[in-house]
Amino acid sequence: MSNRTLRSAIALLLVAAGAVFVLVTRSFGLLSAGGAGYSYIADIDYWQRTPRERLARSRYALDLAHELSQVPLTIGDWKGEEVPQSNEGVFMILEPEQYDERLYRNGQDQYLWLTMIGGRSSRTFHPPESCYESYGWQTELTSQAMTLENGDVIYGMLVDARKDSTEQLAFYIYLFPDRSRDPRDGLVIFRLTSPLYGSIEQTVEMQQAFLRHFFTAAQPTGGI
Amino acid sequence: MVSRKTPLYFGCVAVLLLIGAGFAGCAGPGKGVGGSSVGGPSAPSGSCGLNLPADTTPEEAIYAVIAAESKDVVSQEIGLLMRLWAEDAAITDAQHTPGDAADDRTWKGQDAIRYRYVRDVFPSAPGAAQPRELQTQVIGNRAVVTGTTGIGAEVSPSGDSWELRKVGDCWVIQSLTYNREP
Repeated sequence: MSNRTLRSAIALLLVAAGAVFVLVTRSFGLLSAGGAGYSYIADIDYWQRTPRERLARSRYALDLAHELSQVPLTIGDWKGEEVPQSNEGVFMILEPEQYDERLYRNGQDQYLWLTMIGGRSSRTFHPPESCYESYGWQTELTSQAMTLENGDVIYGMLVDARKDSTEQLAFYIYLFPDRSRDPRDGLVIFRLTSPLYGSIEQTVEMQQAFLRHFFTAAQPTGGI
Repeated sequence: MVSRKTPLYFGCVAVLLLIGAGFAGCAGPGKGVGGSSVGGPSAPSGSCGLNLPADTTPEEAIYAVIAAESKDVVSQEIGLLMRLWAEDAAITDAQHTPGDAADDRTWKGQDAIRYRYVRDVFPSAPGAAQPRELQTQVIGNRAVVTGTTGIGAEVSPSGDSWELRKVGDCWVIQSLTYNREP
């Protein structure tokens, strides 16, 4: 084999390797991941990029390239069970590409719902608080910083919903495969809902403990 | 002159271009679903960011802040809007039941207020918004303003109650309660 042929073969191999690298990292959300797990762009809104946008690392795949139903039902000391959505109207209105809801319980008999909804249309992602409002609940919306095990902070929106003597806290984050936030790539809303256990702070702490099993790091993306 | 670039050179360039193309999709500024990119993080400046004359009275400064809020809603300038609001500000929709908080909707803090503008207000694309019939009461470093706001064809007579706070020399919005009219 001549030197020229050898160089051509090496060049072709490098091109092929580069193409495979790009395809794999884009498909699996591994860009900048620097290790096992999945990287996502997390934000408190999907209409516009906000200063709270973070590059988040997740232990589990939370994107439309994967089945959300593959998220384990045992997360730390939380044991979950699938809660099939019985209201057909949810699918008619939201038209989600993926919809998965679980009820998890921990050793203290506390429970929370994890709802993961994925889609590529704005129709799928109406604000969760609007559901409460349509049923006559009083709502207060704030942003909530959740501190991860390594000290990083990830932000979501927190709905404090009250009706009569019932109070629920719903925390949610929007997850994108990458920073282009291209609707065609889809996004996932990751939502935790629980009744109030003690104070709001204590309930947020419980949700934070659950969240830490999913997200291991969150870094600012450099602003907007 | 004969090029001395080898196939290896072209191969490396191709690889770099491919990788670059992949990263470009992850690093560039982008748009969310149905939205556009936004301005930078907000540092509340209130009336101090409006280039008002030095001899502006408190009442004039307060009116200027509320008028700026209306103007920025129409132009959908979220960065400018958020600079009018205090970090711990709140907006409450009284749902036309001012005496009953049980059905109120509240947005608390800058993130939630930003969220409301972007999600609830901007999509309706109001072509005009103007505060009217403002009644201002200044008590030390606080001011309470009641007024009528017309957003497009929607007019809320005495439906709005604003509270502003003076921070340093700047008046910033502390709260807004709307839909107060029964």
